[in-house]
Amino acid sequence: MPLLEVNNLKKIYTTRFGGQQCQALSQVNFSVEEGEYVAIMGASGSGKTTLLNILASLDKPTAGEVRLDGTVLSKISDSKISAFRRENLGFVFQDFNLLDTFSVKDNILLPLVLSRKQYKEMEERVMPLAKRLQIDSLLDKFPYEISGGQKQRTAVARALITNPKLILADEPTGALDSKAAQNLLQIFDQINESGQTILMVTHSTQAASHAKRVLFIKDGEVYNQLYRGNQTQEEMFRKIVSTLTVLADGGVDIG
Amino acid sequence: MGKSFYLKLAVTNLKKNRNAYIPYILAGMGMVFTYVLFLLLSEGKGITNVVGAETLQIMFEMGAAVISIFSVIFIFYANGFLMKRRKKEIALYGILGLERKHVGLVMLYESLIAGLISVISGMVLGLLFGKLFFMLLMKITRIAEGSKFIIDTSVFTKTFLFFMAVYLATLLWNQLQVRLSKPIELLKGEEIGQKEKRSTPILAIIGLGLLAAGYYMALNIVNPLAAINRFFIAVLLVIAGTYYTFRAGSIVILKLLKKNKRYYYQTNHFITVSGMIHRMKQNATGLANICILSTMVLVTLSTTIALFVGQEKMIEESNPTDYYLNMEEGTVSQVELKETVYEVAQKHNVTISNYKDIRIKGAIASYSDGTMKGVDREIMLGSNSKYYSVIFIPLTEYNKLTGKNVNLEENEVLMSFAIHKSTKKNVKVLEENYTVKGACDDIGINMGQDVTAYDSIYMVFKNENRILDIVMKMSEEFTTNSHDMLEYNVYFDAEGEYEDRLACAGEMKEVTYNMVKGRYFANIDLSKEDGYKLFGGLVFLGFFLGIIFLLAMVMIIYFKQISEGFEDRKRFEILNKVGLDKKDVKKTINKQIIQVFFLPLLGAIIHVAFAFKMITKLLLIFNLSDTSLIFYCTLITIAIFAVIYIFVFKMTAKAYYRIVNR
Repeated sequence: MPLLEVNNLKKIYTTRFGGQQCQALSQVNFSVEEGEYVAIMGASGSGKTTLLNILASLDKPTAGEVRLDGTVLSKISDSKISAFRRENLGFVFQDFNLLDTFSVKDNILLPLVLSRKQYKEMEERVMPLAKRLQIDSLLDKFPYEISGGQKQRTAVARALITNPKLILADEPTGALDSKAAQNLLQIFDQINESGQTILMVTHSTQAASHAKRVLFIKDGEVYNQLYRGNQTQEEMFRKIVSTLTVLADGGVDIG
Repeated sequence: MGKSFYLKLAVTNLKKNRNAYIPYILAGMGMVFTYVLFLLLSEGKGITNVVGAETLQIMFEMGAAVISIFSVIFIFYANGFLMKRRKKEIALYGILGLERKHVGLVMLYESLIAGLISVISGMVLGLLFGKLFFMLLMKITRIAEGSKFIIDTSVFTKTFLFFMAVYLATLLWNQLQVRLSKPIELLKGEEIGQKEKRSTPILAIIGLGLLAAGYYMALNIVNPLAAINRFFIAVLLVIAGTYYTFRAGSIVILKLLKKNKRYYYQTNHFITVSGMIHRMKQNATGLANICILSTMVLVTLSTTIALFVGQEKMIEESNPTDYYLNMEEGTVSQVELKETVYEVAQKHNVTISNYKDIRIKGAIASYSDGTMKGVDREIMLGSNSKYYSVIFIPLTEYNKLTGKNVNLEENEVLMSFAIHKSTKKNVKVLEENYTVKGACDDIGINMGQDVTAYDSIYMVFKNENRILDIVMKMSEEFTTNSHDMLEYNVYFDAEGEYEDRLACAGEMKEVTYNMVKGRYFANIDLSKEDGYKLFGGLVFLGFFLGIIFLLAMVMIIYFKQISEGFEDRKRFEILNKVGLDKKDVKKTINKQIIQVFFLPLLGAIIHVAFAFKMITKLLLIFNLSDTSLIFYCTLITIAIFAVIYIFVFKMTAKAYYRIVNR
């Protein structure tokens, strides 16, 4: 059984008075196996963000279902959805979403505190993780005192600390310079190698080329997909570019 | 584009920002209303022909001055809040291509509209409810009928010009700010001024030290006269202490909480404590302002209410007999005075009873362990000194009043205390020893009690010259007045219709003045009439000023929470994404607002509690000695204040929650 199953997902936004309808997702089907590293690419307005919001249980689909490890997301009651999100999903956002009122350490611990874990357990988990992400010397600093790359690594640590089943990354390199982006993608490679499942939405061909599989979304549907297989990252990069060029003939903007 | 476009834009802006502009306009309206009302009362000709009305009018003139100063400060403060929030919007206009002068025009319209609404509606309220409050004032101060409420148009012109000038000044200030800044800087306007400030435990200790010093001073006052001087020093200490404590102390406490890992790493403590540290760094001064304003409101209201409620009792206590006359012996014929008094009384259908006269000499002295000494200025104003008012009575007067036939030797005295019964066998007066032969509490005249003195002592001496000699030596420090005469005091009661008694007292005052220029005259009915005006006016004034301060405070809190709400929205969005329940969001917000809100209230209540003793001492100067009355007035004031405060809290929390949860 795959870890994540997306079946016939459909999302229609209606304007406030019900007049205009806008179809963001028409028919999305795909699945993600445990330990996979999947990138989703698509132009602005192709429905990427809508898809991610539904996967993150922040939004509900109009039709179809999302199963995470067998549980249908839309069937989880409102009172349990936050806890579910906390325990099963880890998020990495484009603009980091760190809280300025917390130190780096407290930002990382936030999901554990929300889950009401013992402090001893938190302490045990945070140090090894910080070392792995090379932020162990920054733990007592505040977000406004560190660089963008360091912020994003902090966010990754926050996503990983609960040992989630799935990491959802929304354009994680979008706000980083190329060096920091490269560093972050290497970290993603590492954590994927250690068995972590990652689903990343991105515009960046470079970021996508690190994934083991790339899905292309167009007009609310999965249009095409590429497997990396045994290819090197450079080969994958070229393949993505050529796919995007083909897609562009159909009016896709490669960003 | 026509001019009307900018007008429309201005109106739209006001509507869009209504959750900030409505309170701003309402507060402005309240101030205009109070200002108009005070001016109408102080400048109106309707109450000038009443005795004591002048005091009342001067009081309201001062009230209007206070309001005008306060309005300027407050309107600028509130305007600053509004501007800080809207900087981004204004920058956007610039970027979208509106020229500076056009942005200026929009701002001009906005200020004009907001200002005009505030001023005009405030004046309309003054017109509508002015008469009501005038009648209320007449009722409180018991000014007889015949006073008319006159609407003076010049008052309205004055108010309009004054407040429009204030609003235009804020406009100029805003224009200047826009002109001096670049759009890019304006875009970041909201984030400026949020830099971290380092706080040290030393500052916290200084703050607590200042508070402790202020409290110590307030608690260790025995002598009411000393309280006046000390009061200001204590107030200054407490104000400074409040600022330091809020600024540094709160952060030190929060940091200690943060160090306690078990406590800190729990869901709601985690978010609140870190949020509070962040918040206190920015807002400590604001919260300290609220705390001090609250304390002022509470003290003003509770003292004026206590004075108003306690006035009758107060006056009755300080006038144990209806009439009291005091003059130097020999300035008037005793028989002639008595005849005149009865004559005047008869003319007004008033019956005189208990006519008593006595020749005495009064002085102030310190007394302990059977030793009586004169006092100097230092003792008089010292905070811990107890002094006594001593009444020396010649033996002949004592025998005349009591009908007894007591004999005393030169070194023998009779001695009694008015309150404390602690006479000794021997007493030493200015280095000379006397034997106390007995008590003298049977003279049958209630001379009242000098409330500022600790107690009164009555002493009967054989020799009048010895009395004069002692008093002369005791008073050396104070006066150069000659003390070669005894005083002649007259006491009597009067009965009759209130109006008659009042008329009688008025004539009595005049007649006795014509007989002896330097006489002291006191009448209970006249004192009461003065009291109604003084204390009625005070309570009216105190009440309005209290409400204005309260209004301003509420606004400060409201603006603070609203602007914080916008700031916190992002934080709560993130928390929600990371997995904070909606339920927990509400709980956390409530906890945070409660703490921010109730810290100043708590601080104010503690301040008032420590000031209580000093307040009772100060009110003693007004002859108000009823501590339990003052206590209940304070308690009720705090209760009402807290209810209003909680109401504001609920409203604000609701608005805040709406913003955060959008």
